[in-house]
This record gives sequence, structure tokens and C-alpha cells, in this order.
Amino acid sequence: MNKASLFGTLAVLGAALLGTAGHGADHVASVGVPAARLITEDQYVNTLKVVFGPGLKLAPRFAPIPRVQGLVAVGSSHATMTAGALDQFDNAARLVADQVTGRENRDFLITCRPKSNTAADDACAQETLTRIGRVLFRRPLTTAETKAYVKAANQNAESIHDFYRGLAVSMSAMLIAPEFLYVTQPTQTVRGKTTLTAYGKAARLSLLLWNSYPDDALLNAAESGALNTPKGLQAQVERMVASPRLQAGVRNFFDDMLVFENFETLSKDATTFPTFTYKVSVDAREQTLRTVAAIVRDDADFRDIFTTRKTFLTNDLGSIYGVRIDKPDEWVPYEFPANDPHAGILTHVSFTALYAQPGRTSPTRRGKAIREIFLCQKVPDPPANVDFSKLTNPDPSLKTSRDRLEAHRSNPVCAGCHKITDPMGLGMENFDGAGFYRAEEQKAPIDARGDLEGVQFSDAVGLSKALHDSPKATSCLTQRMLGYALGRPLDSNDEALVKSLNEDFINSGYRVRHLMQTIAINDAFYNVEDRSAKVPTKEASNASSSVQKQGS
Amino acid sequence: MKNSQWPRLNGAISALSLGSLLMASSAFADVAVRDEPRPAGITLQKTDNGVVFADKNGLTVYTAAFDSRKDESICTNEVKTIGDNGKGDLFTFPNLDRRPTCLSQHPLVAVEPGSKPVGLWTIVDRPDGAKQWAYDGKPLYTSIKDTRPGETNNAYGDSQQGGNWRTVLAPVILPPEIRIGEIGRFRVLTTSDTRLTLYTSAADKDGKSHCDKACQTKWHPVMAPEFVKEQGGWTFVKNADESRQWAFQGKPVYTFDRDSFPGDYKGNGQPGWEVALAQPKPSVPDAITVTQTVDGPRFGDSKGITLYTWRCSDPGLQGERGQTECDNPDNRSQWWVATCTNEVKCADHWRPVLADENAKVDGTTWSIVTLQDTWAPVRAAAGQPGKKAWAYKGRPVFTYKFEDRPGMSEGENTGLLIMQRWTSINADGEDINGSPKEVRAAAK
Amino acid sequence: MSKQYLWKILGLGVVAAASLSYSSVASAKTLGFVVTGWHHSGTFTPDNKVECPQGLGSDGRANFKAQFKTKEEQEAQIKKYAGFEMRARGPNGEIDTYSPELVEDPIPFPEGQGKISYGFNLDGTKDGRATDRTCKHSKFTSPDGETGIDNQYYRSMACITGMRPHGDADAMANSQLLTKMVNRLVFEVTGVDDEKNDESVDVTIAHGLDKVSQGPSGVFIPNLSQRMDEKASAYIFHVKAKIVNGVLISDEMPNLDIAQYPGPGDWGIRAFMNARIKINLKDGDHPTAVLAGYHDVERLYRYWAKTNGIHSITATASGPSLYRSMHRNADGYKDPKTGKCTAISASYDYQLVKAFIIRETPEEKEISDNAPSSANADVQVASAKSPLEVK
Repeated sequence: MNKASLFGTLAVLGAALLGTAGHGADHVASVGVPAARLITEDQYVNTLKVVFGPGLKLAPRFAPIPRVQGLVAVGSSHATMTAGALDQFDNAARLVADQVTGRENRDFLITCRPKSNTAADDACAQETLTRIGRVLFRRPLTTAETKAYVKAANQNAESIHDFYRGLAVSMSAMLIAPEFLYVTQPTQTVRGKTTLTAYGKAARLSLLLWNSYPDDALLNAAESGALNTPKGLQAQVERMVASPRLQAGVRNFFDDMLVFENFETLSKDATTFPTFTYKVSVDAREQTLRTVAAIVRDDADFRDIFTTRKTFLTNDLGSIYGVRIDKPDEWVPYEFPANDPHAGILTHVSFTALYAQPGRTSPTRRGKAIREIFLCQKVPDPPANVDFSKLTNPDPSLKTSRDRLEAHRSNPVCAGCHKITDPMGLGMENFDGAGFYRAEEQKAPIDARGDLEGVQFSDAVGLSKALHDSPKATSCLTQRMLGYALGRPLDSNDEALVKSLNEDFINSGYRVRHLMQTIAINDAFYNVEDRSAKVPTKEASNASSSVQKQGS
Repeated sequence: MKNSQWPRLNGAISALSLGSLLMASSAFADVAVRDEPRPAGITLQKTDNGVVFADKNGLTVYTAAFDSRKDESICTNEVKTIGDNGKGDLFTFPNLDRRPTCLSQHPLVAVEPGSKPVGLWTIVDRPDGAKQWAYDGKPLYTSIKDTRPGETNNAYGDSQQGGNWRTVLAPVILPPEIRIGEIGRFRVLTTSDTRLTLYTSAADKDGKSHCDKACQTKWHPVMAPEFVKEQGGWTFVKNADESRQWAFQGKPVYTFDRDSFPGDYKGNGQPGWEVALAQPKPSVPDAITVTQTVDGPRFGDSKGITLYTWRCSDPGLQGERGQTECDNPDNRSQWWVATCTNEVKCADHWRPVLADENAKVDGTTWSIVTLQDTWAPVRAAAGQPGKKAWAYKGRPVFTYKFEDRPGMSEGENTGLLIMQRWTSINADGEDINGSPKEVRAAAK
Repeated sequence: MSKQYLWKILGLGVVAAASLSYSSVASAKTLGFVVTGWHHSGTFTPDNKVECPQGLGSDGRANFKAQFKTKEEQEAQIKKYAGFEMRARGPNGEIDTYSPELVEDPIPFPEGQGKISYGFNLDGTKDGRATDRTCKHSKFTSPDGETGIDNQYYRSMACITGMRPHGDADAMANSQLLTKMVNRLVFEVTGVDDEKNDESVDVTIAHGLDKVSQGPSGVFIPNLSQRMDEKASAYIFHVKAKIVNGVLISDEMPNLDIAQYPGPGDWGIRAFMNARIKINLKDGDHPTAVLAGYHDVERLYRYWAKTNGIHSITATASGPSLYRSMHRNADGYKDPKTGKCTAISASYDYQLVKAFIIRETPEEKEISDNAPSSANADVQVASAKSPLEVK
């Protein structure tokens, strides 16, 4: 299949999908009009490393996926395919195919042996390609597909006199086929109810829980129809939630929700922060992911992410937090003492340094990040003509950020937005732009008092506690998780579902695994209805595209 | 063993020697060697550092770093007269009437009449008319330093695969996820992506993994692909989530969460766990200990005093380094005397480790040699009187006069250029799954 | 700790050595440092005119050419003792570096004339007069005005280009200090009640096991953690010290052995006797320090010869000159039979960075000491006790 026809196929596929109309005028929320989701880098790697083993050398750099409604997972259904992007997939495909069929690994990875290495072998080609195709396409290959891929393999094997290279050509083609690159949502209508097919369910489930395509066992459950029964679905969900592979899903969700792709453009001024290194920023991301993942793994109260003093550190992070690391060449579990100002992920370097300027803090950015990430609220971008001079060339008598930001708060044009960001961001001022703790700024004591939606606090620990206790923070997580799971923007039609999931989440003791599991066995996760006819009465309270960028 | 190591015979393969057939079927209890055709006269030989190719007498074959062109050998019987001291000065070698040649110290591995190339084995048509085997483009030689099968005395160093002369390891059967790494002189199983050390658990003796969720936060199973053919002693076990974990000879393999870099083995000594070695550990004589220096563990004498060997390679011209050595039993070159003025003073500075009458020797790394009376890092010629002393890879071991406590390094690197010096013997990895005696100095 | 001292005086009990564990006693603090740079102490001016008015020293090559005056003589010597790059200068071709007593350098060897140096008064005299243990020599004054400082090794090395601060050898030593782990040196100061003034603290000097890191502008990052190498017990040393006005000053250590690259070439052990250390705690995260003591001349020379000497014909040092100069300037450990001093005082300027020093935890110690023995070793593993317990 060449690239030109690939584009054509994608276009047709897209149109066909959009044309699908479900029946079942159920008011219950649903998958909605199924969109095709482009595979992400992590999903690509996770899937192929399971199929072909962790020894597979793979470090693709695919085009970034836009963020929609706070999540890349939602944006993946808005991702476009360009020639350049396809090139990346093509390169990766060849790399994979070469490794699988290469002399070094083929004895293990190709489970049948051709009669001759230098000629086509129909049986072995068919056995191999149907097994691989099933996993890549998340369903068995059709007869026509099987025929086409086997034919291509045989033809190439004959002309190059190499069975394995022939196989590699077909494998390569599969790896850039739209059926592989796009997760589509095949539907079935049974007794008037339209749902995803069992294979569609498998894909959805696997992306949510494992950030990967379905494994062999899940595909078998789809094949046998077990996934179409509540008991069968439950069994698979339990298997997948209990598996260590859940970590991949959990980490990917939080990496997405916390907008950690911002790390890729993070830089600090070397004069102001001479000890903030690249390694610190890499470790900072990992620190928070490990902290959150541990809370989920231990099935603890999710809100602990805001208050826990337990975390994981490296030697480089130790130099920022000023603590001894017993095993300087490893990641170590670390617990800050009670009453230590480091409590919860807001006080992690991954937040304090990420939402700051290269040479100083930024209470506004921090406040905006808290609103958008943890409260699912939208903060408008600053106007183009904003005057930053008071911040960058301040009056020397204005020693602290609070003093300098007064200018914005007293100006009515600015006050409207700053009112909703600064009171929170200023609560973080005890952490400088690199994440170091400080009691003073330019010898003036820091006043970290503020309020979060009416709840007063006197420092970052207090602010974090307010977030911990905030019902909005909880429901924001629920919304994000649902959006992540569905892979599409939420709107007012989803409000009832969000509400019920949220109540259930709270009653479970705020357990993320429980939330994921609940979503995974919820009919809404698999029902399909035509939502194009429904006009949302209003946008969801956190709706409309919001891209969390390093702006102000 | 699930998959037989009986080689498949077909018409394209030259006749395999009976010896090699037998060797293949007797199955080393180590990582299995790939069943690939070999020419007549080439055997497989087990050594302390892996299974290597050997000549018909079982003597280890080597490749030379200076043979940089495919299927071309520059090791000849020509007496080289000019050397390069590495600083741009050329000079004439001393004692030209007694100079060895490259081939006199490293005989070529000759091709039996009628033999044909097969697989990666090719034939070098030498300018001198002789025919020599090459493997993967590299001409092959043996070494006069090896006196019996299993010795690899010409490949000395931290990595058996570094230096001027290297052994040729027989390719082994490993899944794509697994490789063999080196810790000291030991070959350990590692992952292929991160090169982290693998371990096995005593609790898994029934062939199933008993590492539950809590255990798995410390010990990470090494996963096998969804599509994979078990072979060569490698099988997989299914875990609770239907994923597959590799097992070697029935033992599931894991990495240790605290290992942070290739060669790290912090899981060693954890109760119930063992490092997964590619072959069983060779032993160390009772008279030899491990001592901790500031540069890591080294071998010591029974009191823990650091041991040194003298290694000497003639300073040949650029591109020819390593062609002749000056640390062979018959060498009386002045190189080693240069660091201690004269033979009397040198014999006072460097003291051999004499071997007891009934000392036992296991394996092929340590041996007992005979030293002449005014000792020197050379062996006595046959029939001459002398003292029995311990040797490591054929080189007698010595302690240094100015060291009086375990763990010292006063003698380290005493020498001339990089190629002629006294060095201590790396004992990295000797503590894997059990160690020789360790002796430490009291702190001051 | 002042309280401990008091108890000892009153004879009311012994404070157990175990109290010096890294999980320190309630109120006392532990400070840690890692070495990030060092130079020889002394006067070194940019044009060296003050300290080396006769100019800088000549290397072995130049001396060879002066010893074998004509081209023919040189070629004959080179041919006779092939391969030793103009070092075979002894009567029977012995190498100058390794047999310096057999070779005389024809070119005069300039010695350092400077008078300013950081360091310690090691011999206890004000003016360097001869005593029954020491030989007559001149003293130095520190840049802060402290008099009576001993640093005789300066005289021997000051006019050797490579060994001067930022010379070849010095620069290489400092770069390898960071990249080669064998060099890693840590200082741990325990029992600190007051960083400004404290009558009694304990210092441990040992090999370290971790990297040091620098930020993008080259600043050494403080407050990283650094493991102490407790296995290399031959390289763990203890000494008592006091802190006065933010400066830590130690007592004498009978021995101190430091692994070090002194320049291009290999590493070796720089061995001190009667060593003392001073750390300027008041400098904060990047304190300077001074380390001084006596070096046995023969041992120091052996160290130099096998590390820098043989590898660096261009370090502008010639072994025989350096050797004779060191003996000439030796000022300590007088041999009663010959009346000659056999050790030479030396001082070094150090740069440190603040760090957390990590000791092996008890559980790890248990595992590493009890790792199962191989079938061969029927002798118990002889492991060192905690260095703190050894008297």
C-alpha cells in the first residue's frame, strides 16, 4: 500500500465513521459519534513491546498531538495526518519489521519455519501475518486482507529470494495501515441497542487501562463473545486492573492531565538558578508520576496527592529539596517530616519549577495552572497589549512578587483575571522558580496567605489542603478521567454521568482504580448514539479547547 | 531440555567433527550454544569465560585487533625491528637476534586440506602461501601462552573482549530480550534494552513464579513477547494477568528494582535470590583472597595483600600494537627491570606467592607455575629447578614490598608505558552468589 | 562536643564510640564535604619571577641532551637502550625516573623562593631551626598573616611548570579528580554543636563512591549525597578537630593516604604523616580548605615516578633533579644514624562542596557481610567491623 492510497483510505474511513448513526435514543451518555483516535507514541511502544518483546529497539518521535479540553487523549481524535507525520510512522515500521525478521531475533519471534529461507512459504507467511495482524488491527484480519498481505509477502520473497525480507515488507505495510494507526470504533446493533462490537470494546478498554492495544487474552475474550456479557467483561476488567500493566495507564493519564509535556520546553536561567540541571527536570517529572502512581497502586485516597509527604527522590532532586538521599545512584522512597513545607504535588519541583519563569516565580501561571488542571476551569489568555514592565523592571522598593503584582490587581483591566489566579499562586511563593524553599524574598518575609474559592490558607500546605477538601477538585478528576476514557470532549449531555461517577468515586473512598474500573464496566463506555442531532444546552463547565501553554 | 542440540545435517554443511557433535549433545549446563556448522578442525571449548571456538587440540583461538581488514592477516613471521614508544619516537628493538615474531607467539589456525568455507567461517589466503581460518572476517590464531584446553591467557583484562587479543565466543541462544553482560570476568544474563542484571529466585523451584504483587515492586519479571518460540533452555511462564515471563532452565528471571546501571548487582546477597550467570562460576584457590582497594575489589594473597602481575606488550608501530609480547615465559627483556633498577632490587620489590605442596587447582584461570630462583615474572624453562608459585592467566602473581596491609595500591601501575606495567587483578563480581575469603584492613 | 569533654574530665563515664553513628546524637549536627579541586600551596605569580627568578625547570629530555652532549652520543645511547625515549641515563642504562639516585642532571634545578603559603606549623618551631626530629629550613607566612608554616615540598615543585596551579599536570589532576572515581574524597564532620565555635568535633576522611555534579555554568552543586566507601577500610582515617570562628582545625593524624591522579598518567597514593586539615566552614556551600603534613621522600617520589613521571616527559620535570631536591629540602623524620631528614613537609589548597555523606545502612551491611560463601571458602568471611569501633 503506498502513501497516496493510504491518504485516500484514511479519508474514506473518516467519512464512513462520521456517517455512522446509532439508534438507541438513550439519554444516558455514550461513546457518542465514534471518532477514530490516532495512536500515540506511548501506545505504539507499549503495544509493540508487548507483542514483540521489551527487547525491541524503538524510540519513535511522532508528531505531537493537540491537547483538547485539557487532554491529549481527547485531542488524539482531532489529530491530523500529514506526509511528514506518516514518514515517521513509516520509519518506525521498517525498524520494527527489520528487527522482528532479522537474523538475530527471528528464531524466537517467528514461530514457524519456512521450508526454505530463500523462497516464499505460504503457510508460514499466513500463520505469522494473521497472528500479527490480529493484534495490530485489534481484530482478526478479513479473508481479503489476509490474502493481500500474504500475497505481497510471497511476491517479495520470490523476487528477493528471501522469505524473511518478504515477510518484513508485509509487516511494514501493516504497521502503517490506517487500521493499525487509528483506533476506530466498530459498532453493532443488538435488539435495537447500538454498542461497540466486542473488538471495539477490547480496544477501548485496553487504551484506558493499559494505554496499549488489546493483548492476546483480551482479543480471545472478544472473539468468544465473553466481552459482550457482564460477567465476561468484569473478569477481563479485573484481570487488567490487577495487572502491573495498569501502571502504564495510570501514569499516562496523570502525565496527560498534569500537562507534563511542558517539561520538553522547560529551561531555567543559569545565572539565577545555577544548580537547576536538565537531569533535575527529567527527575522532577518522574518524581510526581511515581508519587501519584504509588497512591493509585496502593489503592489509597486519591486526594492524598495534595497532602502526602511521601514521595520518591533521586540525588539530583535531593539537592533542590535539601535532603540526604541514602542511595545516591537510585530512586529512593522518601518521606518529608511532619510540619515540613513539602507536602503534596503542588510543592513538587514538577509544579513549582514548571509553572514559573526561567528566572523567577510566576504566581499568575501557578494560579492559572491550579485552576485549569485541578479545578477544570478556564482562565482566559492575557490580552496582547499587557504591560510586564512593572514585573520585569520593578521598583526596587517592591521586594516580593505580591508587591509587584499589586499593579495588576489594582488595574481594573487586569484585575478580572488576576483575581482568579493570583490569590492561589501567591500561596506558593515560598517556592522559588526552581523549586527551592525560601522564607524570604530579597530579605523581605514572604506572605503566602490567600484563599481558594473562599477557603483561607496561610501557605502552600494550607492551599494544598484546601484543594484536597475541594469538591471541585474531585469532580474535576472524574471529568478528566471520563474524557480520557471516552477520547472525546465532554459536554452538557455528559453531566449526569459525570455526577453519578463522581458520587460513586467519593463513596469508594476516592479510589482511582475503582473509578477506572467503574468506567470500564459502565454501559455508557460502550453504548453508541448519534449525538450530532443533539445540541448541547450549554458547554460543560470545563468545556471548550483549552491549551495549557507556557504563556504569561 | 526442550529443544535438542543435535545439529541438523544437510548437504550444504561440511563434515562436522565427531568431537563437536559429542560436545553439542552433552549439553553444557549453561546458556546453550547455537547450533551452527563449523569447519573440520574447529571445536567448541568451555573456558572460565564462556564457550569459545578452539583448534583441533582444544586450544583457544583468538582474533587480533590489528587485523582491521576483512579476511586479511598482518601477523607474519617477519622480525620487526622498529618500535614506536607511543610518543612519536621510533627506535630499534633491542636484542634483534632473539626477537620473536607475531606468528611465533601466535600460530595461525591452519585450514585442513579439502576444507571449505561455511557460514561465517572463511579462508584467508596468506601471502606466505599458508591458509588460515577466519571467523566473521577476522583471522584466527592460538597463543603460546595457553598450554592446555580451556585457558584464555592471551585475553587478559577486565573485559575478556577488550585488548589486543580476543577470544571468539561461540554464539549462544538468547531471546531478543536477553543478552550476556560482563561483571568482572563473569558473564551474567542481562536484559537487552537496559542491560540490567538478571536474577532467579529460590522460591520458584517448581518452575512457576511466586513473586506476587508486593514482590514485583522489588523484582521485576522479564517479559517475553506474545509471539515467541521457546528454545535453547528458554521457556516462558504465564503470570496472573496472562502476560508471559521468561524462564531459563525452568527458573523465571527478574531484574532488581534497585539496580541502576549495567553491571550493577545490588540484588546479590538478597536472601533467596541469585544472580543469573551465563555459566557456573569458576572457583578461586584457597590461597587467594579478595581485598578491597580504593579502586574496587582485587585479588590478594592469604593475608589480603594486593596481588600484581606483570603484563608486557612490545611497543610496536601504530597499527601493529600487540603483535609480540614481552611477558612470555622465555622473556628476559629489560622492560620489567627498568622499573626497579636491577634484578636484585626487583626481586626484593616484587615477591611471588609460593604455592603449597598440596595446593589444589580448579578451572583454567588460576594455575601453579615454576619460577627461577632469583625470581622474575618469568617461568623456569622445562627441567630447571625453581619455586612453585601461583599464577593468574599464566602470569605469576606478586606482592609489592611496600605494602603491609590489605587493600593498598602502592604497586599499582608501576611500569613504563601503557603496555608494560604491574597491575592488580580485578576481582569485580567475585562476590556474586558467594565469594572467596575477603580480608580487610582495620581503619585508622 | 563540649559536654562530652566535660564528662571525660570529671571521669564520670565513657561516651561510647557508637554515638558517632551517622544518625547523629540528638542535638549534634553532621557536616559533609566532597573535594572538587586542589593545588599545591605556595607563591605562584603569573610570570613566576618572584618565586623562580632563575626561570623554570628543564625536563628529562633537555637533561638527556645536556648529559649526552653530541648528536652521535645521543643516538648511540638511544640505540643501546632502545625504547626508553631518552630516559636510559644511568651507568647501565637505568631509567632516570625509576633510578634517580644513579643519574645526575647536568642542568641546574631552580627551586621555589616564594615566602607566602597556606599551611600548618608542623614542626612546632617558629623559625624552622633544627631539632632532634627535624632539620633546619625556612618557614612561610600565610596570606592571612599566620607565620611558622612548613611547606618544603613547595621549594622542589614551584618551578616545575606542569605542577604549578593550572599547569599541565595540575590541570589534568583537577579534571581527572572529577571524572575518575578513584579520586573521590569526602570529609565528614560529626558532633558539631556550633558551626562557629566548637571545642571538639570528629572528622572522618575517606574515599567516596558517587559523582559530583556541576550546574550549566560550572558551579558545583551543593547538598548532593555522597556515599562513603566503607569497604576500602585502608583509606578511612579519623581525627579530632575544633572549630574556631568558623574555621575547623584538626589535630594531627599519624597517617593519611589519599588516592589521586597527580597529572597526566596514572593514579597512585599520596601518603601523609602527621597530617592536619583546616576547613573554612564560614565560606558556606563551597568552602576552601588546607591539607598539610609530611611525605616520606622515597614514598612520595615513588608515587610521582609511576604516575606522572614516567608518563609525562613534557611535564617539565626531571626525576633525578626532583628527587635530589626533595631530599635536599627534607625537613622531617630525621634519621638518627645519618642525621639526614627523610620526610618533607607539604601543603595543599583544597576546594570543597557541601554534601550529605552517606554511610552503609545496617541492613545492607548485613547482606554484604553475609553473602553466601562459595563452596571453596571454608574460612569465615573476615569483614571489617564498623571503622568507628576500631581503636
